Amino acid sequence: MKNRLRELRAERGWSQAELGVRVGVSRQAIIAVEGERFDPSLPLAFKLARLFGLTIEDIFEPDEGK
Amino acid sequence: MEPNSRYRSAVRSFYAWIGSMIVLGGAPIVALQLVERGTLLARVAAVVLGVSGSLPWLWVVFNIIRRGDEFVRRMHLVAGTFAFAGALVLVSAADWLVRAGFLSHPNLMVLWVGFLLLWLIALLGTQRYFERER
Repeated sequence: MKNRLRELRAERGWSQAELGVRVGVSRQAIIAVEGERFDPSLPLAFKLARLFGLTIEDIFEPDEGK
Repeated sequence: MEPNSRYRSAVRSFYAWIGSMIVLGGAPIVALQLVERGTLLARVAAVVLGVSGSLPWLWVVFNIIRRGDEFVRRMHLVAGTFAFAGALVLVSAADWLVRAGFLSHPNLMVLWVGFLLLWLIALLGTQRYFERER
C-alpha cells in the first residue's frame, strides 16, 4: 500500500523514532511502513491518521497494481 | 509506554538477550564435559543442562514477541515460517543422506544447532527485507 507517511513526518520535523513513540510502535515499524513493506493494522492506521489530523485515505492509498 | 520506560525496557531486554545467548552457547560446552566424565550423575546433569540451556533464550524471544508491536510480531511470524521450512529441508536432507548410505547416522547436534542458525538467519533476513525500500 502506498502512503504519505514520510512526507507528513518530514513536514513536522519528526524522526522515525519520535513518530513511533507518538503512535506506540517501534522505529522499525515506522521504517517498514514508510518503505511500503508493511501495511499497518487498522488501529495503527487510525492512530496515524488522528495524529496528523487526516483521514486514513489521506495517508494510505491502495496499490492498484497488486 | 513512556519514552523513558520504553528505553529502560529496551536496555533490560538487550542485557537479557546477551545473558541468554551466553547461557545458550555455554551450556552445551559444559554439558559435553559432563558427558565425558561418564558417571550417571554427570550424564543426568548433562541432559538437564543441555536441554535447559536454551530455555532462557526462548523465554527472552517469547517476551520480545509478547511485548512487541504488530511489526515485531509479523517479523517473527515470517521468520519462524521460513525457519520451519528450512528445518524441514535440513531434516529431510539428513534422512535421505542416511538412507542413501552417505552418512551412518545423523549428528543430532548438527541438526539442532542448524535449526538455531536457520532461525537467526531467517530473523536477520526478514528484518532486512522489511527495512528495505520497495
